[in-house]
Amino acid sequence: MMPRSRKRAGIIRLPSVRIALVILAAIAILTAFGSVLAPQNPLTINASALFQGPSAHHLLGTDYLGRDVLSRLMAGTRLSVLTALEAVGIGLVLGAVPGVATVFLGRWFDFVANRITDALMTLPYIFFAVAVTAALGNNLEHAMIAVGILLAPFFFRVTRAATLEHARAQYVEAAELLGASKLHIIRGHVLRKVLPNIAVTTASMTAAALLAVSFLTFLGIGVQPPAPTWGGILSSDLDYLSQAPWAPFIPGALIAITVGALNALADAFRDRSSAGTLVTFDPVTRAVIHTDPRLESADGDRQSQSVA
Amino acid sequence: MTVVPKEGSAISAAGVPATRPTPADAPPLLAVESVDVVLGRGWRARKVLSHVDLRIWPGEIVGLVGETGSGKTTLARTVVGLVDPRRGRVVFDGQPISTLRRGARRAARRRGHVQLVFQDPLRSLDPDLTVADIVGEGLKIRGERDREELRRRVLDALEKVGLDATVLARTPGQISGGQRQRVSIARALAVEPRLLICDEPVSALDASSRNYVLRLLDELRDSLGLPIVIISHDLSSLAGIADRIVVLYGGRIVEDGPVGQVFAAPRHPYTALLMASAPSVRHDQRLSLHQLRRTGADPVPPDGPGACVFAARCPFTADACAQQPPLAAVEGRWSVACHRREEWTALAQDRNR
Amino acid sequence: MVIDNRSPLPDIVRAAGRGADVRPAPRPAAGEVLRIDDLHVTVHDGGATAVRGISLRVRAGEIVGLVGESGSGKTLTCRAALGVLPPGCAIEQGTVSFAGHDVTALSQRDWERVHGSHIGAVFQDPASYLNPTITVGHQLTEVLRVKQRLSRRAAHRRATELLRAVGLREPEHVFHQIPAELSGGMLQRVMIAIAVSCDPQLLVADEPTTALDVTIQAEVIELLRQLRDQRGMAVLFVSHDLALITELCDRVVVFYAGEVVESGPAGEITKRPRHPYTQALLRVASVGDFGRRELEVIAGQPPPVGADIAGCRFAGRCPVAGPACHAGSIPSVTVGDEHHVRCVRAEDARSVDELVAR
Repeated sequence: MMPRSRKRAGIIRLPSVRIALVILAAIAILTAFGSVLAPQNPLTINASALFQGPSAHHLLGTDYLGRDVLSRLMAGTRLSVLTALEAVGIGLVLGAVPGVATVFLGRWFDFVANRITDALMTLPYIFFAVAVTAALGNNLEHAMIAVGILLAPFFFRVTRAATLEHARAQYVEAAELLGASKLHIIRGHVLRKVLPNIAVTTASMTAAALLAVSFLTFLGIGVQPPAPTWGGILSSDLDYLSQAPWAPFIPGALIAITVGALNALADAFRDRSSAGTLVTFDPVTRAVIHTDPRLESADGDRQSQSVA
Repeated sequence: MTVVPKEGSAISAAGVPATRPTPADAPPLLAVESVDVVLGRGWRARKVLSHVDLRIWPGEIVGLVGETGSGKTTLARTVVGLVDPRRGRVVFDGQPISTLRRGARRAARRRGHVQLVFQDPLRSLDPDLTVADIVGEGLKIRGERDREELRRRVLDALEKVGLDATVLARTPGQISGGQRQRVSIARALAVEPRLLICDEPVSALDASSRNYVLRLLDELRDSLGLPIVIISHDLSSLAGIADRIVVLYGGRIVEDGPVGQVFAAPRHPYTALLMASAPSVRHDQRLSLHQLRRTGADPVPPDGPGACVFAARCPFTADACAQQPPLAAVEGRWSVACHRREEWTALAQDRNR
Repeated sequence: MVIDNRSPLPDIVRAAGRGADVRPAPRPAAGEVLRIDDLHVTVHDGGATAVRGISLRVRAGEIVGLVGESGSGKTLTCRAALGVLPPGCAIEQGTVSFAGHDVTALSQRDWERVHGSHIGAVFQDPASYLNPTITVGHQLTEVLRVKQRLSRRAAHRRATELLRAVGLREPEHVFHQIPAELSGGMLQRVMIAIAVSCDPQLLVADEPTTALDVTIQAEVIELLRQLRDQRGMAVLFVSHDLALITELCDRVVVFYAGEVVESGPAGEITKRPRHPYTQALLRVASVGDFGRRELEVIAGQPPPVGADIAGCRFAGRCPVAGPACHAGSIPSVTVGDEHHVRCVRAEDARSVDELVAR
């Protein structure tokens, strides 16, 4: 497993990745313990302290009902992040699993899967989510399942492309010649090479899901007040923009920072792992050659490689 | 055991006794029967192999020679089932294997009868796996779970190719090109095949390493009785160890015979051209390139789909060459596909050197 | 009629000399096209010396072959002679003279005027040296128009002539094809056409046939010989294939671990090799003698590039190495007509005939 850990270690050295990891760690802690860590009760209404700016007591001020903004954001993290993760999880399972399988299950399966993917990708997620909640009830869970279904095609495409590239490798043919079953090939050769792609996609899709959650809760879908969510907070802040013009920036910034951290991580990981294969063309045999730069050994010259 | 020189070849310089030849009427281990292979679909389809008939007997080393595009790699891939023939079939030890489907094919492969050593070990070895994993993969697929037994058999296979336990934990990127090639061979050997096909096993190696690997294959044949098909474009290295030579041109076999006899007096003009093209350190008395190449003065070769594949390059064409000649026996196990096999040598000798 | 609009070589070098510190070139012998004296090339930004003390000469009309394993320094020497050393490599010591003029310190811009007009080059992989999107004819005419300042029509005519001269059977048709439509052998012929288009005095060929089928290789080799005969061009031919080198070349230079261990006429080297490494190479090489024979190997590995070794660099693998071989730097001795060997045991060497007949 040496090559993989070397790569991971390399990424952590990047400052962008370090910052992103710190941010995401903080978000993770908030997700788990947000309500406990919050300095105040996010639901306590205090009519005498409306629209207050940042103070010692209320670090980020209060909202239109006198509730502590910081506490609301911290408590709201849980709902927003968890539902986003739920959507990503659904997308991952519904997308990545068929994405790998389709390469091995024959042309018909691939055709059908591709057409379903095409269809799903044409649906705008907001309308789809609204339609689902209209049909099944105004529930954030349902809405995020809808989002998850619409994330699946992206996972499918990326995983399929990555799997195709590795499934045609000669070492896979060699394994076939040894009598390997498709499952053995996937487990032994393909999966570990496709995981980086899946990881990258997961990071970007989490960012997308988070934005989707924020937007949906902003629209009021699925949220039962007074439960705090990032998007919900943003929405109500915009309602009272004249009284507290600074207010929307806070949840907005939170969303942006989190999404940014996820994308930075995804980019760093993508840059590292999709150094992948180098595609060249050999004019003599007229073959497209995939060379793995990891295999550049010291002797270089292809024509003369001494036997040790 | 009496020392019997191999049919048609001289005893090697050091007087090493060669393996006893298989009786002429014994059934072949591998039979490629009239195989046609078409690659690509629709308008891009092209016939890569036509009417290929090939038999391999136990204990022999067969050199399969052809230039780029001759179909030699495709033939290897067809034999092992990575490509399905459009017509004809491949029979191993009496059992047709080209018609097997999926589960049966996998089961047959797990029995490990025919193994292929790919041309480029950089591509045919998984860069993320260690040598131990790579060589042991075939055994694991067969269900071998005992770690001690696995290790023992992996080391055994490595030893056969001259490698030891020091490479076990290394990945392909951490060993040299020659070692990679040997690991590739070890992987095939670990499942105890009954026929080994090596696709250009030494093209990317320098002369000394090349000889090392060829010697290795020779010893494997001697010690295990393992028949080996070596695909190469380099005639001279085959001459050192092959018993039989099969020449492929344009998807057809044009000559197939014992190495000593073929090299002494090739019966197909293309074989002679191959030999005349090979650079030599000591020159032999043989036909020169000029005598074997078409010039403007030669008769226009017959064209058309049914014509001999080599006609366009052949200086000795006649009207008969408008029909593709069949691969016909000339003596014993020597066959040639040429209408003018009796005459062309004399014609060549008459030409200017 | 050959239109020659090239800048004469002395102008280029004189122009370069105006600013640079021009070392006095050693006096060239008659008809010497290329002369390398005591060349030392470092790699990895001076970290290691890959080429040590190489000297060789190429005369007009001569084909000189450089043979050796990967890492032996033959390609670096070749590139130093062309002024195209890869980044990180530099000539640390020694001189390279072309037609009597020192080009060791020539600037990039001046080299560009020499390339093509006076020195042509052909490399192993023609497809990577040609623009895949432009027809080969266009690439050929481009060279002619830039270097010889021909008009478009004249360049087209000359290009077609050249394509025919290199053995391409339908030059007009090939003219309009892009590299992807041509086979490896044809592409290599196109490269040769480009290389000789301006009638250079020297053609440098670095493994030009290694990637080609043996029948095509034979044709390309014949073509090179033909061009040499017709134009009196000198050829520097690099290969790892000893059999090929001895068949084609007039003189052979054997490289090992960055040094020249033996050099001399091809016939001499073949029949009376004096260096144990040359002898080993000959034993190992494809003899072309198709009788069944024992396949030889050379035990051991060449030293890593740039390694500092006291004494002979082959001593570790040499069957006849003695204490004198590890002592100090081994000088090159002359053992025959233009036949030089870098070995203290040269007198003990037996001829290859004796060795094979055992």
